[in-house]
Parts: sequence; C-alpha cells; structure tokens
Amino acid sequence: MDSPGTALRRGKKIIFTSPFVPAEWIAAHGLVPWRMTSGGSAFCGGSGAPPVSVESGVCAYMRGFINEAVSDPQVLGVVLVTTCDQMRRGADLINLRTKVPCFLMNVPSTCGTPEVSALYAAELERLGRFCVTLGGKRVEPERLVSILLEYDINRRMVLARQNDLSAGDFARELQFFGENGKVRDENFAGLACGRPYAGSVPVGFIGGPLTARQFDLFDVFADHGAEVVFNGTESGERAFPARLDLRRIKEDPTGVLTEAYFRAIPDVFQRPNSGIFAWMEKAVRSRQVRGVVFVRHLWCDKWHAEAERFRAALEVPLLDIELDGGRMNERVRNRIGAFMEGLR
Amino acid sequence: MSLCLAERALGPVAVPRQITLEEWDEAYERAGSLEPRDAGYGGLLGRHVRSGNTRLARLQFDNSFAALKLWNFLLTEEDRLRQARLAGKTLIGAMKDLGTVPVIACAYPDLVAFYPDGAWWLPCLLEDNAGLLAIADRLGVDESFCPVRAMLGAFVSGEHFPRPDLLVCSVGATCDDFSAIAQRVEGLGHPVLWWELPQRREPEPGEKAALLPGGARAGAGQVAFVQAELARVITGFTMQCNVKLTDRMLAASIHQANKVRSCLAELRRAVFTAGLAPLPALELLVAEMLALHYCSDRAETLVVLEELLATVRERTGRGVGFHGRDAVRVFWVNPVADLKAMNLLEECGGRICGTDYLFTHALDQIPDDIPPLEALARVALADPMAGTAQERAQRIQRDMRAFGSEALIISRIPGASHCALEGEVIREIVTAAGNCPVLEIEVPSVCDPLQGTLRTRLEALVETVRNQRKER
Ligand code: SF4
Ligand code: SF4
Repeated sequence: MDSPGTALRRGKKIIFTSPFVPAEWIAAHGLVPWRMTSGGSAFCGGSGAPPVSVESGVCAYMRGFINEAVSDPQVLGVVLVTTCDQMRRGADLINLRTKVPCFLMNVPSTCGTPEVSALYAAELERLGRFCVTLGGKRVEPERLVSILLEYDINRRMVLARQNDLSAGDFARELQFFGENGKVRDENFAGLACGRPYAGSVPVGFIGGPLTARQFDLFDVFADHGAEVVFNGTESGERAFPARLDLRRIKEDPTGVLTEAYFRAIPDVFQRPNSGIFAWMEKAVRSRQVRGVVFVRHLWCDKWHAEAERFRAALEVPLLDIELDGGRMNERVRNRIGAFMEGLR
Repeated sequence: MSLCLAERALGPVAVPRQITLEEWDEAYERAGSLEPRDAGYGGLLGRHVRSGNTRLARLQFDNSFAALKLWNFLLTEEDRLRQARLAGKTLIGAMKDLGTVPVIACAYPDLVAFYPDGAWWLPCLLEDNAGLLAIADRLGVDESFCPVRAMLGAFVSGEHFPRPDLLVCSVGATCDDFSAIAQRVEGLGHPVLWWELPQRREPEPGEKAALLPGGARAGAGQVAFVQAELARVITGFTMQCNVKLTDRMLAASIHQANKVRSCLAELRRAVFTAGLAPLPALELLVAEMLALHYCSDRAETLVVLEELLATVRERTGRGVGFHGRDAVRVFWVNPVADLKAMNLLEECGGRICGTDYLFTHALDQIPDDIPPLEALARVALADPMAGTAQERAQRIQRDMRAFGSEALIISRIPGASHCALEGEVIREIVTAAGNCPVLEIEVPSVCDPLQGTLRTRLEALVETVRNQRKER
C-alpha cells in the first residue's frame, strides 16, 4: 500500500464527507480516502466560478464541501451519497460544471430489510469499480484484511482520546483521522490540556455536520462553563461505524462494512429514524447531560424538521442553533450565553 | 342531455371563453338541470368557495361543461373518500411516489388510494384560511419548507381528508421536504410503510439495461430491487384487506391505468399542438393531476378526461380556441403553488405547450409486455426526481421539440429542496442548446403580492419570443 504521502503526490485523493462512505474500502483499492470537513471559510474554492454558485435555498455545508472538494489540487474523484436531496443535486452540478469524476452512492433511507443491506453492499462493489476506473487497484484479500484491521484499530485509538481532550480538540482530532486515517500522535500530549474544569455543566450535541470553523462552537460553550460530553453531530462520534466483525472480514468484506456502517450509524435521514433518537436518549442518560444543543444548517430540511421532535423527546432543555455558513454571529453567542445561564 | 344541446342552451359556452366563477354560477343557474350526465358530484362551482376554497373566486375558468365537470370532480374528492370509508373500503394514503402505488391499490376490489400530498395545493385553494401553515409553523415546520408542509397541518386538523387506514411512502431518491414531513407525520402517530426508491443509475458494465417509460434507462438490478420493494407494499395491502393480489389483477389494473394515460396523452398532444389553444393551461394542469390517483375514482376519471378530449377535438375542428394564434408557446417546468399563475401566463400572451410538473412518469404508458410488477418498478424508477437534473433537462428538450415550445419557464417552488440547483442545471442545459429564452420565477402559494413583478417578467419573456419570431 502506498503511504498517504506518496499517493497524495500522485493526486489520488478520493474526497467525501458522508460517514456512510467507508474510508478503508477506498484505501483497499489503492487510493487515498479523504473525509473532508468543509473549511467553511469562503464557501468557494479555487479560481473561477465554483460549481455550486447559488446560495439561496442551498445548504451551505453542501455548497462549501462541493466547492472545496472539486478545487482540491489533489482530488482524483468525489464521492457523494443520496442521503439528502441537496447532495444529489450537488452531484448534478459537479457533473455539469467540472471534470472531476463524481460517484453518487446510493445509501438507502430505509433500514432493516436484507434487501436494503444488499443494496448498500452492492454500492460498495460499485464504488470499488469506480476506484479502479480512476487508477485504483482491484482488492486483494490479504491487503484488504490488513487495511480493515488498521482502520479499525486506529478508529478505536482516536475514540479513546475523547476523555482526554476538550470537545473542540476532539472534533479536530476526528477531522484529522477522517483525512489521514490515523491518530495525530505527535500533538496528543499538547492537546490534552483542553479538559474542562470541575463544576462545569455537562451538555451534549446532536445534529448535522459542522465545518471546521464551526468547531469554535465547542469553545464558546466551554467559555460559558459547559463541558460537551458527547458530540452527536455528523462530525462527532455518533457518526463513527461500529467495530468491524473481524471473524467475517475475509469471506464477506462488504457484508462486514455494511454491518459496521450502514446498519450501525444512526442518522436523521433514516426512515423511520428512531435509531438516532435512541442514540441520543442513551447518550443523555449515560452522560447525565443537563442540556442538548441541536445544530443544523439553514435549508437542511431533514434536520430542521426534527428539531421539535428532539425537543419533545428530551427531559432536559434543547437549544436549536441554525448555522448559515459563516462564523457564529453575535446573536447565536448571546443565545448560547442565555441557554447556559438557564442550565446552571 | 348531450354536451352540444347543453352548450346551445347556455349560448356563450359554444364560444370558448375564460369566465369567472360568478359567471359560471350564473350560467349554471340559467341552464337549470342542463348539466350533462350528473355522476353525483355536479353543481355550482360557487359551493366550493363557500366550503373554503376561496382562491377559486379569483381564477378564470374554461366555460365548457367538460371543464365544469373536471373542477367539480377534483373538488369533491374528500366526499368520495368519506363515502368509501362508510362503504367499508380501506383507505390507502399513498405518499410521494406520484402515480405508482395507486395502480397497485386499484387492483384490489376494496382499496381506495389517495395522496395526502394533495394538501400541497391547500394553502392556495384555501388562501390558507384554514390555518394549515400556522399548524405546521407551530410544529417547527416553517416557510423554509415547500407548501407540502400543509399536509402536516391537514393531518393534525383532520379536516381535509379522512385518516387513512395505511400510509405508504417512498423514500430514498426523493425530495427532502417530503421525506422530512412524512417522518413528522409518522411521529404524530400515523404509522408509515416506507419503501425505498433508489437514485436511478445507468447499468453497470455487464449488467442488463432496463428501458424505462419516458426513455431513461436503469440497471436491471435496480428494477429488481424496486420490484421487491413494491412486493413489500403489496404484502402490506394484503394484510390490510385480506385479499391476495394476483398478476392477473395487477395486469388488469395496469390496463385501466393505461387507458387513463393514453387519453391524457392524447389530450396533451391535442392541446399543445393545436394552432389555437383549445383548452386553457389551468384546466390542463388539473387534468394532468387526475392521472396521479384518479381523484379516488378511476372509472370516472376516464369519463372526465374523455369529455375534455371531446371538447378539445370539437373546438379544434371548429377552429376556435383561446389566446389568439400568436400566443407564445411556453413549456412549463414544475407545478405552480398558486393556480392563478397559469391564468397570468395567458393574460401576458403565453400559452402552455408542454409541461413537466414533476410527475411525467405518471403520464407515460406502463409497459404491458413484461410482468406487471416489474412494469410498475420501471415506472417508479422513471420518476424525474429519482434521476439527475440532466436527464430531466434532456426529456424537457425532447418534449419541447415535439410540441414546438418557444420558451421555457422554470417555476421554482418556495422552500423546495430540489428547485434551486435543479433549476440551474435545466436552465444551463436548455440555454446552451439553442436560442430558447428561459425564465426562472418563483411562485408562492398566493402570488397576489408578487403579481406585478411576475406579470412584468412574463410579459418580457413573451416580448422576447415575439422579437425572435420577427428576426427569423
Ligand atoms: S446538512 Fe443537511 S442538507 Fe446539508 S448536506 Fe447535510 S443532510 Fe444535506
Ligand atoms: S414541491 Fe418539490 S420539495 Fe415539495 S413535496 Fe413536491 S417535490 Fe418535494
């Protein structure tokens, strides 16, 4: 297997952002999986017009991700998923306005039947063929097993750091892992200083993806005396796959990945989406949070529509934050302040 | 009494005109019992205004009896559903797939399907005086969602359709608004049978291709998958009504559905290609909507459409119609949240010659030379929403050529998850292909406050086409 550094120099990045795309599957095809967290700075990348130029009615996360992904100098291909309409339309625009190969992966919205699991597994096969057409290698069983194992171990290592890092730093650690597939060893000790002080108020996060700039949210909460004890956003541990079933990796790798990703990650787009409610309720109970922060992007219908259901399902207060692309504005900061005041 | 006799008795009806609801009611009362074949839903249009559909009072209607019947049929669906419930039928609330599930439901003797999605039009028809949007607002589903949020309000108020015995909803390659709101409906205690409609894709190397109605293709594996999903829907129906569905029953239902679809296809062709528009845009839009679920009475739908077609043929034969021969021939993309916009286009000098109201798959013929469930799987996959905007644009271009459309209007639906980007793709492709003016507008559920702006933009489009004609 190429080291990430060698592969990157050859422009082998397969960029995606959805947690339902198994990085190890792309790596097993000899390419570099790069789970991109949109920077969220200017929301358009490179020179010339970005493929997603419209702002009104368009999810800023999707817009930022697509514009940044296609303008990454090392991009070889982009993988999007069908879990929301906005991403599906984003794929249309990549295909219309750029030459970057785009793979639109069907991630079923329904779960629980063998047919949809088989559909997801078949999509993995199709993703593999996409990688091969871009110069990737066919999967060799031995290499596949070692890559899957490596990812599984690294994932556990990064998750184990949760208790030693502040929420913001842990989010950045997860981002690093998403991009590099490994833990950031060298900085680990330094990052550990971010733990909150005793007497802070435990809160949890739930919601869609965050841009790298929006990780500041965690710091703002910390400034107000919060300890973020779980990150149920798409950028947090909620969107991590389950442990791989090592006993079955050899004979049924796509089946194992289907179990760990498609069947294990709870998300709001799923129908019914009781899984994400169960995840949150368990997290709230086990971590004894006093409040939940619900983050969503403007024009993201699937998260937006559920805000009130989450509120109703909780016995603790919920703060609904709508993000509109840029940094947090003063109004959001003030609402956070008032929310934290109420939790004390 | 025959249509012609009735028209003679009413005098002005023989000359195609657009009239107000008041004029219709006056004419109707003058004519007394002259309404042709009353199937139990005829009568004054004004009664629908009194029951809350106040928007009707601001529309212009075709003055034919066929159109009157069409409107009365459309606006009495709720009565039919309540009667069906009283008669012991099982009510199926089909959601989102637009056109496929009702064909299955109609194959059963005692199932009646309707689309709660139809509440999409209620903010327009009722001018939101039933407060459905306010209910949705209270549930946190605000105006950043498309008008289908009125469906949530309707489920809560329980006033616009009876509670279905079973809800069936397609998800996957569908819009976010609907999927989100259907989940909220389920959260209110209405269990939903969800079935998966994947994003349509080209066949993989080595995979057999399946041709879909409307010309798109999909991998055979996808067709088999959707077929299995529809089989789950059938299992759900069978459990509801204890009747086992056979291929023969399903094939017979497809045969009947195709009769409706061919009649509608002929109606559209006749209207779009006539020198003078023999039917206004508004009535044709309503006629197209009947193909989705037959307003809960498929046999009567066919009667209504056949009468419209007869009227259109009769008018074309006499060389009479609407809007003058120089009316600009417009292809319209997406349904309008406010029906009034259809009148407005005509007032500005346009006429409709081609449509894609997001349910072209409900208009195309269902294949009848393959196993019936496979045929329906192909129909479901042909949904324009399940494919790319590029494919949708290609079909639009093809239909524009077939119908001689001179301009394209992309009507954006406020809050709809697909509109902003899909409109971009369609506009770019159609513009790149030739000298066809494209206009993107947004039409809210009640467009009165924007009417001035909309009028100016529509008039400018009409002017552009007329100038292009001169240059040719
Ligand atoms: S935030 Fe919502 S709309 Fe945006 S990409 Fe994610 S799911 Fe789609
Ligand atoms: S208008 Fe568009 S977004 Fe709204 S329900 Fe219909 S297809 Fe979905």
